[in-house]
Amino acid sequence: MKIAWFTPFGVRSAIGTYSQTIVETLALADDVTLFVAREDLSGSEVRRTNVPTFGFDASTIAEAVERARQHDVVVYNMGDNLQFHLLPFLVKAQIPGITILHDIVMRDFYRGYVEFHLKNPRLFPRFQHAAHGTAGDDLWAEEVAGRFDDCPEDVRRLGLPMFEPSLDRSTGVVVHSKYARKRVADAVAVPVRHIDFPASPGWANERPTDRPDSDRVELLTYGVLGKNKQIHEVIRAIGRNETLRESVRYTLIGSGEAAYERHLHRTIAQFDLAKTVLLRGWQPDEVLNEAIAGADIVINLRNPHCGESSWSLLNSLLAGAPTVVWNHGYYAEFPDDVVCKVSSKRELRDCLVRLIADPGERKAIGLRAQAHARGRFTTTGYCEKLREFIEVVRNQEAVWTFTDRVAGYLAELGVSADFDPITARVSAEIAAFVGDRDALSAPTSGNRSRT
Amino acid sequence: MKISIVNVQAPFIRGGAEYLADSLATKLLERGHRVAIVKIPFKWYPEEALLDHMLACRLLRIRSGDPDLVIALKFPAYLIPFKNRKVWLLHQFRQVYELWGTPWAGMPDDPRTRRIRDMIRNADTAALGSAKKLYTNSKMVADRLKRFNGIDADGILYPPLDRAELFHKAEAKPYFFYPSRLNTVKRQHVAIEAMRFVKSPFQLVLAGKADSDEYGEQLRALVETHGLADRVRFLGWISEEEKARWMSECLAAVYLPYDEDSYGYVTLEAFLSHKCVLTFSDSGGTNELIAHERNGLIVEPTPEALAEAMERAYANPARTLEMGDEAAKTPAELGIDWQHILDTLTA
Amino acid sequence: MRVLIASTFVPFIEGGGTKIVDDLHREMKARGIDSDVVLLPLYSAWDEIAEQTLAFRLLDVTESAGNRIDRLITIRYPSYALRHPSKVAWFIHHHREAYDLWGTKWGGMPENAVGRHYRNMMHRSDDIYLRECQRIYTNSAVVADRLQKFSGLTADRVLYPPLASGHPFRPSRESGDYIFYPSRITRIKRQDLAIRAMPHTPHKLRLVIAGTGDVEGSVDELRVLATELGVLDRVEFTGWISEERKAELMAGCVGCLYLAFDEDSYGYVTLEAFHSAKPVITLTDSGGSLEVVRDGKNGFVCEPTPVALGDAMSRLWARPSVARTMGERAHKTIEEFRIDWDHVLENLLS
Repeated sequence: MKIAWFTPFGVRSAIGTYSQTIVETLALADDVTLFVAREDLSGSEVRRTNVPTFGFDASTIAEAVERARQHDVVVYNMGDNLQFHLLPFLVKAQIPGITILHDIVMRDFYRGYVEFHLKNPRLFPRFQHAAHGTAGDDLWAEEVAGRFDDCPEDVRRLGLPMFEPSLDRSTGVVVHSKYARKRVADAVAVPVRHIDFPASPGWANERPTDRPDSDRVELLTYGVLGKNKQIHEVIRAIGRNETLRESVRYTLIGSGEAAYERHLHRTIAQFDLAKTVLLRGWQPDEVLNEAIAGADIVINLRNPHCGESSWSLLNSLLAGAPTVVWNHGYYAEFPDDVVCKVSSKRELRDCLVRLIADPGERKAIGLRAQAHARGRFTTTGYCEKLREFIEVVRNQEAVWTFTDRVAGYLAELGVSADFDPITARVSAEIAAFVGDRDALSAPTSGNRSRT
Repeated sequence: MKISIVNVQAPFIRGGAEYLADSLATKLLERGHRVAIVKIPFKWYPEEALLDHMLACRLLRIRSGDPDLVIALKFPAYLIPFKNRKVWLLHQFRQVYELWGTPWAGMPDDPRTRRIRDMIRNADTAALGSAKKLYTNSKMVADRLKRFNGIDADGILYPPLDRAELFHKAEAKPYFFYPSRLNTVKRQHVAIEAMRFVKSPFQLVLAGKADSDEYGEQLRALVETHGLADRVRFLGWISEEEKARWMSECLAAVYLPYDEDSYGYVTLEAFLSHKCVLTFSDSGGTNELIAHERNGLIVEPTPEALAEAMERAYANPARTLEMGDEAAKTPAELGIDWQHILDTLTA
Repeated sequence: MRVLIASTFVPFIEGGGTKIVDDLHREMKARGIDSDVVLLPLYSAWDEIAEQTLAFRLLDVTESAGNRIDRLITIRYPSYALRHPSKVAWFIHHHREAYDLWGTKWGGMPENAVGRHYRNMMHRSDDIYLRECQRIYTNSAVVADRLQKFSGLTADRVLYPPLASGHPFRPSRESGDYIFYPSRITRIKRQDLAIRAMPHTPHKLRLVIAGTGDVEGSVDELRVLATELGVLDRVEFTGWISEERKAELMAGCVGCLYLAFDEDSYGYVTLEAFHSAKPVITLTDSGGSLEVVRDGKNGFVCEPTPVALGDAMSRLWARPSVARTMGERAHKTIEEFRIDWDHVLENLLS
């Protein structure tokens, strides 16, 4: 099978790492071509891979389309970042394919899209409307009135995530959590599959390590530092508790928005924790992985969540570090004895206090986390399930592209279920072609907004 | 009765099925029925187009004038809904049946196309299974219908000629006659190749228009490359009368389609002209009517084998003409006449 | 160049609509153009047209068996729903029930929410399909106006359908003593008006009515009317006649009548008269004939009353030299409006 794989590929892109992990395994059995931004293939830091790559940019979209058409299936990696995902998005408009949706909330993508690509920010409400109808219009009104500024902590973002139009022309969707699967399946009628992440590279054969002796219990949080990571709450929890103040060191690796970092520094100062809480900024993978290996406890809170599935979570699990998470979304999908789930500031404090006091429990949780992760998140397992899904999609594709086409013609006619039975009749005919168990439930659904 | 004949057309191409529909219409009119011919343009590629045309047929309405009977002949025309519908099955869409998985399928075999294939089979089974009566034009088609769709045909109706009376016997001249549309399935290129191996002084006469410019070019190039200009004649398109004349004076007819459902008009035209037919073992329907050495010759599908058969026929004219006379008995033996067809379809 | 002519027909009901298709096809073949015809079946129930239109939309006539089809010419509705990158419409009419006949006693669609919905579907889709055409021609100015009014589209030109080549009508300078009206005998063609006009004409003036009726007894009705008016001896009913006979009678008449009510086009009769160099008398409410008949030049246009019509018939019959001059002008009208196949094909194929 010839697979065209569209993805961001910069060295700093987690999805780039994910893609490299996947395609290098897929390439063992299939012909895979990576379609990446030309700029990702040059410069001082470049990913090295043996999988054939095709670099393109906005001016050579046509070439990419031509090239992609020569493949049996096209896969698009979509996420909430315009710079990374614009090129796949533009090609996707021309060739239907399977979308791997890394983020449920796609609002920032569309902000960037209208501003930098379409060069007309006033078009944003149109996309919001396409995704969410009048609810979208209401939210726009709120924004215009100054009561909504689309900041990451706002739960309204998850309510109106705007992923649906980004899935246009998708013949199938892959997501990485049950939560995402339900959200997407409720919105589209093409097949949606939840596949657990592949293994995070570098941790495949790690054995549980005994943590190096440190005078303090090492706490670690890594990744983009944002308010929803509740880092300030962790700092406050430490600041307010004698035991924690004296026992822990809290390291932060990664950078964040300037205002939030300033807030963190103020909080640190407020509680006089300059020696206890260390902001190390962005670090390359080797440094980060060393830190994870040396962490006694990893704190990976997300509140509110935005439907994301965190691949970086796997790093701490595979490293055998007990990980504290907020009990909702993707994180709730892990067994209770594999991660430490909290759902309030008090539970956070209690959890930390408990873990600090009990190295044995830390080790036990770590071992369970590692076993769970190794069993559940494997690259070969991912590729197998992905291949299987591709087969299902290709099998369905004929039906979906057909109903899509027919829906287009029906839209030209301007049919209406209230007044004429045409749609029902056409659906029935198509269902009769399809036959039995795979019969369509929402037959003209390829373009629900049109009909 | 008011009878609608429902068929498909590939614009700019006129083939056997269309002539048959016209003949059927003429004969029905002669009997006093009122007839309308409905032809649906059909493009069978790319494979997605198959679904489009199938759905189109399902949505057509042919009730105007309240016809008493609809006779449908080919895929996807027999999908057009109508209560009193009889099918005289000339063609399913073979690419998704016995040609599936072969280079003749016209599409690769992968999950996507398999779904399309299955949809066509589903639609066929439903439409053919719900016909009031279902006849096929040959045993091969009936067998395939049973094998793939699990449906038993109600009988076999072999297609007669429209103007059987045109065809007659006359004194044989030294040429072999192959009248048919020129295309890769009919394999005129193999007949031309065979002439390379022929030493005796007879000709191959081809009549008919090429389906595609490329194929016509290909045939001409073959003749030129092998210096066969004096052995191979292209008559181009000729009238029925001219064809009957050429047929009446040939030594024998040649008909070499690849795996066709039915024996083809050529076979019948030859038989009625008291001429035996040379065909290939993989030609399909011809093999239902032709018995080797009885009313024709069946050989391996190679130019050499054909050349050898032609040489043999030329070398033994008496035997060849004798086989021709045997062949003339076949149509009556199999009920290949319009009276029988009409009686059956309008019953 | 491969040219496909596509149109619709109503099996068992309508043969008439295909004449223009057959003529066009024949003319193309005669000029060595590779052309073929697709006639799609149509069942004109207003609530079933949309699905059939969808069926047409699903077909693919861009190519056939590997050979590209270069031009698609669509004639009757809704054949213009067919997709083709080089589509030219010779537009005869929409589904009139949903357009100019909507809300009139001739319209068959209910004027309720459902009817309105189906009407809107037709309008909406017609607008889309017609705008895909590279060019749109109509068969008369009446139709062009309707196209403008309802679809907001300006026809590129009016292409009047010519007579089929090989027709028997030849210019004739004979002047006879009768007025000729060959046409289907129906109410809308108003043969009764011609008879009512007879009492207002000179005693020697004769009227020859050719044709048969749809309904049984329609000719008898006219006979009865003529009798009542005392003009039966001056009116001849020929019944059905062949084209050749029609041409003979046309050649020998002093002029021709065309009295249809509000037709889209001028009718083949008018054209046959022009070819025969005969003036045409038509009425102010006849519709399409007014595009080509000019009062006092190549015929007369009068009020649809027995007196006015009788007067026009008398004037024509009484002055043979005037009739002949008008007949010459009538013949020139064909050229003036380019009612010939070269012109038609030049436009449809460019």
